[in-house]
Parts: sequence; C-alpha cells; structure tokens
Amino acid sequence: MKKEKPSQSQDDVLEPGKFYLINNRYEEALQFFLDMQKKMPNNPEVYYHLGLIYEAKNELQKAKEMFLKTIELAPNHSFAKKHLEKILGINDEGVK
Amino acid sequence: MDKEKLKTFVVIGLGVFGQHVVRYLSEFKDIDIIGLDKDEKKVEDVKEYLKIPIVCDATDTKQLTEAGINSQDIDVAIVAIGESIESSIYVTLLLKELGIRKIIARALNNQHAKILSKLGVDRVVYPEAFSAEHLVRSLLSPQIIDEFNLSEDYSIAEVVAPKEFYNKSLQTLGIRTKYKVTVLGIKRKVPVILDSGETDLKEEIILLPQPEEKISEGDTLIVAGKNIDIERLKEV
Repeated sequence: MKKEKPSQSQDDVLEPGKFYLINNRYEEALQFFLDMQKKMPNNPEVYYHLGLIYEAKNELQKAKEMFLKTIELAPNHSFAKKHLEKILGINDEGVK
Repeated sequence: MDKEKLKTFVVIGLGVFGQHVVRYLSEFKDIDIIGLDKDEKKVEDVKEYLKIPIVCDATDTKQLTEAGINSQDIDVAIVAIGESIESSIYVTLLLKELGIRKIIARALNNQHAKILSKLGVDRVVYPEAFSAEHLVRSLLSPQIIDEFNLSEDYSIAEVVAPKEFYNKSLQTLGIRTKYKVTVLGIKRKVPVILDSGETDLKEEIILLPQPEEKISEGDTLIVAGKNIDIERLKEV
C-alpha cells in the first residue's frame, strides 16, 4: 500500500473538488471526491477532503472514518489528526 | 514575555487528556502554554501548540526547576498525569512547594481526589466522569451536541440544524414562535485554504444572529428554552 504524500500532479487533480468545497458547494465536492476515491484509492488527500466535507455537513461519524483512513495512509497527516481529535473530543474531553 | 497581556499555563502530562487540554488552551490568544512530559513523542504530538515544549521527568525536583517551572513565570499549572496516581500526587506536592499560584489536577478516582484536595489544589477535575456523562447524553440524544442546564426545566443547548432549515432565514423559520426557543448563536464551519496551501475548516460563531440570517448546511444552533421545546426542535 502506498503511504507517501502524493505527487504535485496528483494534488493538482483535486483542485476542482477543493474549489467546490471552498465555495460551500458540498454536494458537488462530495461527488467529486467520491469519484476520486475510486480513481485514487490510496491518496490520503482524497480521504482528508472527504472528511472535511462530512465534518462541514455535520456528519461526524463519516468524517471520523475518513480522517482515520487518511491517517492510515499518511500517519503524519497533522491536519487529519487535528480534525479527528476534535471530533472525538466532542464526547471525550472536558474539565468539570 | 509580556506578563501584562499573557498568562502562562504549564500542562504536566501530555497523554490523551493533557493533549486535549493543550489544544483547547491554544484557542485562547492570551495564553502561553508550556507542555511537559517525560515521553518525547507525546511532547512532539502537541509541539505546534506549545510556546515551550519540555521533555523531562516532572517528579524530579531538579529537572522541574531547571525546566523553568517556578512561581514567577507560571500562572496556572495543570497536572494532567493519568498513568500514575503516585506521580500525580508527587508532582502536585512539588508544584505547591515551588509556590505555583494556581494548580488544577486531574483525579483518577475518589481517593486520589481527596488527597489532591488535602494538598490544597485549587480545582480537581474528573475527565472520565465528565466523558461518561457526555457519552450517555449523546447516546440518548444524538442531535444535541452539548447542553447546559439553566434549571430543571430550562437549558442552553447546541442543536444540529435540521435539513428543513437550510437556506432559510430565522425570520422565515419563525423558530421562536414555532418552537418557543431563542437562537442565541449559530456555529458555522467555513472551508478555507490556508497560506500553506492546505484546506481546513474554520469555525465561526454568529452571536445573537439577525432575523434575516440564513441557516447553512452543517450549522449548529445554540438555543435557549424549555427542555421540552428543545426536544421538539431536535425532532424536526
């Protein structure tokens, strides 16, 4: 399984999906990255962006699964770790 | 360090709980955080949030003082050690001896809490108990993310905006009339591209939103009202 950070050209391919996401066009962004998931099943950035979309839509269980997959493919993905911990933190952390 | 503006917190013990504390503290701009653990990897995990990352054994007085933990530079110490009650008690004792003004310590059980209180800790926290309470509540009420009871009958709660609300203004929805709750704020996640080129989500809070404010997909409403009315809203 490939775990390295994808090449620049692979990242460029994801730009349209990022454009949809940044413009709050979540359904189009979701469809784009789901298509990319089939084409690039080992690209952590695809799963990271799927995680962001689900998180933005408040679908936290799906977001969690996507961030976990991102970390599985790219163990040092600090952004995915941050988002995953934030989601887990909703039920786990706190000071009483 | 500008002591007039900044407060310096030291978090001792950077396990899961300690790391969460560091991350949440980092959201406050007027706080400097020193993170300390004997495990280098744990310190590395939260290094980006720390003003000063320190790898040392906090149960060793010499190492603790050499690391700069003293009453002049530290405003608040949080003992987040979760692996050893003995270490937690010993570190708390050292911090008291060093004259740290405010100490907050994590208790692992009731006896531990009692000892910490006897040592003069300013606040004892029970993260496990808090988590359990949150877990049960979230299982019973998955749409409510967080809740604050104002009285037996009234609460302030965070409710995920239902799909039916998307792209409609508060005025159009008539939430106050229809559901008898007041929307105090809207939490919104905004996708952004950072300077580093990474895509991220930024959380915005619109406090006391205007009636013409439209609800977006993924919004969380912060509402105040009777529990029964909040439940009704949740079922939309």
